[in-house]
Amino acid sequence: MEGWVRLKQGGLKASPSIEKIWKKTGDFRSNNTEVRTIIDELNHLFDIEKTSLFNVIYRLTGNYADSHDILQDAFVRALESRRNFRGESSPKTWLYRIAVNCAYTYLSGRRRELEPTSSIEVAESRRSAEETVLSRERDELIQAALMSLDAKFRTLVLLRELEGMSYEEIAQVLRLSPGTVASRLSRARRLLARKLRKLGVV
Amino acid sequence: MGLRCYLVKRNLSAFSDEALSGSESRKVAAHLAHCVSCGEEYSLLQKAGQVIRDLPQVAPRALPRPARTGVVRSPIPSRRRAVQVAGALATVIVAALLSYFFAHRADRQETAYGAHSPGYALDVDLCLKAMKSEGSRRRLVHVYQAQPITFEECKDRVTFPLSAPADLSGGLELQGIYLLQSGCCELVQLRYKSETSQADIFQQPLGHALFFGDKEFKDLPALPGCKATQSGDYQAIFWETPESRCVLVTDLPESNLAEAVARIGNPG
Repeated sequence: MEGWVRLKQGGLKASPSIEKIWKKTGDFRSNNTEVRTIIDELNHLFDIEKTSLFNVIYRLTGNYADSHDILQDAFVRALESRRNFRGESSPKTWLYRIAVNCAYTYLSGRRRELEPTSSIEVAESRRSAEETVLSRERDELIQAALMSLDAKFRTLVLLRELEGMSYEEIAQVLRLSPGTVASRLSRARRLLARKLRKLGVV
Repeated sequence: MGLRCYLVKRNLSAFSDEALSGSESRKVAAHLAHCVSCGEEYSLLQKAGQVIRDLPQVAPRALPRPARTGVVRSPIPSRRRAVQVAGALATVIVAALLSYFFAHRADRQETAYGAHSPGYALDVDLCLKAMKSEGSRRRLVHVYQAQPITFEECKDRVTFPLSAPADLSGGLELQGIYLLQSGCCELVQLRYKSETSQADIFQQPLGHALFFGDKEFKDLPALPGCKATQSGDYQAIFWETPESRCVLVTDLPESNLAEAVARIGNPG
């Protein structure tokens, strides 16, 4: 992951490049209240959105474990690029934009086999083991259908269906016009529906 | 498929999102009422959308991070108690951490922030702080990993479920242990639990965690029960619960440490 060095133990360590950025970003130790405020605001925003962000990233990449890293990466990038945020979009769409871009970076860098979905810890209510297996299989099929879409189409569907974003919000996240969002979303949905039908999900 | 069907199908997505204008929307609805093919297409799209909407929300793995990190702002009543414990354990020197703390009294205000948001955000926050610390000669930079590491994955650590005998623990309950022999601490918190109370003896954000062998710790003040004065003489003991990660520092050699831990705890 860019900006981070993976330790042998499995942890992450900041790379020198991030450190440089950090030095530009501000100095905690000087008790800089402006920096403090920004960090706090971002923390707050991130706290509210992190589960949703995580789900979008996870469905976008299909990799549960790596989604954690991507999420963290997104947050660090948000922190770094806060100066580029000029308020032309809402903080929420801005954060989603960063997260989606981080996921794209991940996807372009690693085209490896999908991790079996079985490793995920879905917050399952009390279901029988059989039901769990069935729902897991179904989940895998759905994820497979999603993965069959082009990443850009996948993002559109996820932002719309999973996050319930409006066309305007999606347009802000993806820097598209609302018209383009509508037409691409239409195409994405048709492709997805065909795939889901083919896999027997619907 | 007629031209009308083609146009309608293109608009079904926007239609279902109620993103069409009134007149367009009415036209599509009217067409759907009598066109079987478009009706089927519409219902398929609806079902597919529902499938995605019904996907269970996947939770990120919980981070074993303390819910509060702001405790250190003011003197903690339990600190004295902690020293007693260290004495009782005779070998395990809790106070080394405290001494570090005293030695960096000036930093205290800063360690007190972030109480409101545990989890990733805090992690990154702390990690950035840690990076900053690097600039000031403190070498530690180790970002907490999102996935908890198991013993099998990490040879540097040993886990011991702990339940200390009263004579050793002074009635305190310790909850499991990680032993880190080298490298950096990621950690941060020391917690005890007695019959009547549970308190954080010590909490330390990531950026201020110890780095063993760092010259910076040469001048540790002598503290009750603390024989070692050089950081190279110290070992850290970690323990971890679902809610928190904890650390003790001791001046025991490694072999004795294992023995002490075995005495305190109940391995396996």
